[in-house]
Amino acid sequence: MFDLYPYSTSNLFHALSNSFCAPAQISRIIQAQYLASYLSQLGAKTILVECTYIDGDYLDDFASYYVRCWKPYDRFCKRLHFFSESYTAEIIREFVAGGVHDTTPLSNSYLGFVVARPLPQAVIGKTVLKPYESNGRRYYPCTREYNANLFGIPLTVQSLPYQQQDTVLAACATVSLWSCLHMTGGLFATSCPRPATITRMANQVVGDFRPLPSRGLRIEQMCHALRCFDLEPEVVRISKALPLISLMYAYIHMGIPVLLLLEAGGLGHAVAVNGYRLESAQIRTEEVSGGCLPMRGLNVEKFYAHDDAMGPFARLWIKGPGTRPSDKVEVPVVFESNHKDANGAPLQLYPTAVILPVYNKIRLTFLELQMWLECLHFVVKSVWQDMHDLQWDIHLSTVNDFKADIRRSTFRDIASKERILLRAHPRFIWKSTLHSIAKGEVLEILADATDLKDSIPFYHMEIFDSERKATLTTNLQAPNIEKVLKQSITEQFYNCLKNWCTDPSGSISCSLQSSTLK
Amino acid sequence: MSHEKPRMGESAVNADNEKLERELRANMPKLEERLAKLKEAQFVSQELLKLEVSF
Repeated sequence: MFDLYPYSTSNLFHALSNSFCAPAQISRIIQAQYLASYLSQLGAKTILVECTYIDGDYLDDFASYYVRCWKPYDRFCKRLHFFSESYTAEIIREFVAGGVHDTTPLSNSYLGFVVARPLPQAVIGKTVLKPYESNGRRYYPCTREYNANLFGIPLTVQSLPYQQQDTVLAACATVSLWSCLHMTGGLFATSCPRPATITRMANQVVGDFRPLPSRGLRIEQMCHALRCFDLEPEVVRISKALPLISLMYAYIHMGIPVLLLLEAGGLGHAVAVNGYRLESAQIRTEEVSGGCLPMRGLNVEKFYAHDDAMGPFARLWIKGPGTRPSDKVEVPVVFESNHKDANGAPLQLYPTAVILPVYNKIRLTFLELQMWLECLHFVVKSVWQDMHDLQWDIHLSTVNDFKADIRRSTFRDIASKERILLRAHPRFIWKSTLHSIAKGEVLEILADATDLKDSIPFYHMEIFDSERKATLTTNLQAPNIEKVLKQSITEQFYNCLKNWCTDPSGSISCSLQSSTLK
Repeated sequence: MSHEKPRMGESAVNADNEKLERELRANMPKLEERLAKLKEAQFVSQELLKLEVSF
């Protein structure tokens, strides 16, 4: 059976309600208010409620906890489907069993679903909704295709699962891990465990609190949970020298969500960052006080995160640097979202650390790569002095995605495409492209992300302008320049660059050399 | 001892090279400082992992 309502905030609250939680109480839940606003922006016109729905994630929670409560919690949920077109019950019946075989209109208007849990407070269960429209600026790389079968009609939505925190089986850390693991499961064929399982695994490391009801996880517990599911946690401490925005961009671009750990109003909070808004012009002049490589982070206006205390794809505005109140550590950026402090002003979210849930073969980190790129930038910026508007676009990629991009490229000629496409590459690649804002792409250099940090990781470089390549080659061959570069960027790296300049294949013949930067 | 005359344009190239060399030498401390900062940023202490804050 199903119920059908025209979309409105009151109908949404009514559809989410249950015997423990009336619509009036639902209307006071921040996450429900966020959903109402979000669905309005998506253009929802119809709510279809599957009245009896078994949700695997909730069922696991139910078996782990609620079934042993004295109160008779229900094991069945409701599932709310949202459409951007107005439908009547008759039209839906026609689609389901009335002989209308072409369900394309229904599929095209599908916005996703929300599981309504039969609980007193944490009613918003697994939520898989479309992100905001891209508009050419919003990017959601950490989304994948999800199937929802409605009475036999297959519906799909490109999204990442979200749920409200319940602080019984899953606090914010568990929910953020759960969202991240859904995405990495699609990327790396690792598992997508239920929230209760994540909390159990994390608590194999002794924490501050009893495991259930869950009051939260410490960083080492989150790391342990990731290891249990065949991922490697890369923890990055937030310091004033860290180009945090470009770092997050570099991983999210490939579809790896970033677990961002924040200090909010004196408490710890974790969110799963899954997208970003990129402007065509620079928004800030520098990422780190004192300077670092000019990178894409200069153009990122905001991030989007699954925040279990707010909602899916919640905006995270990037503000200037600040000082974390608890330990007085200077941080390169402070975030703001829709959270408000006691005075109704935007709550300041101070980053504490990020955890990057990477596959074990991704070994070379963003910061390690950046050290080599700093050396390369030092050379090219000095040689090509007429270019004052250089910016690096650095991100991880799989070989397949990288080759697909090259095939689609209208910028490269056939010879350049063949050089890249017909050769072998590592499974994971750090792709770094140097752009001139005025002149477009200048240089592309590929690094083997599966390599060791002390080995020069680059294996292919291409300069798109033959005159610039000639200038670089001439300068690298000059004895006085050779001397100073060997001192500054290491002899091995200098030799690599020189060899590459004289090798028309674009391959860098130094992949087996090792060199440690000071 | 005979001095070979510089070919046409060679002196200009040499002058450019010397300028570039000065530029590179002047920027070396900045590069070293940035590399040191990056190295420092890579350090993750046990204190962070065992931070007494739950999320």
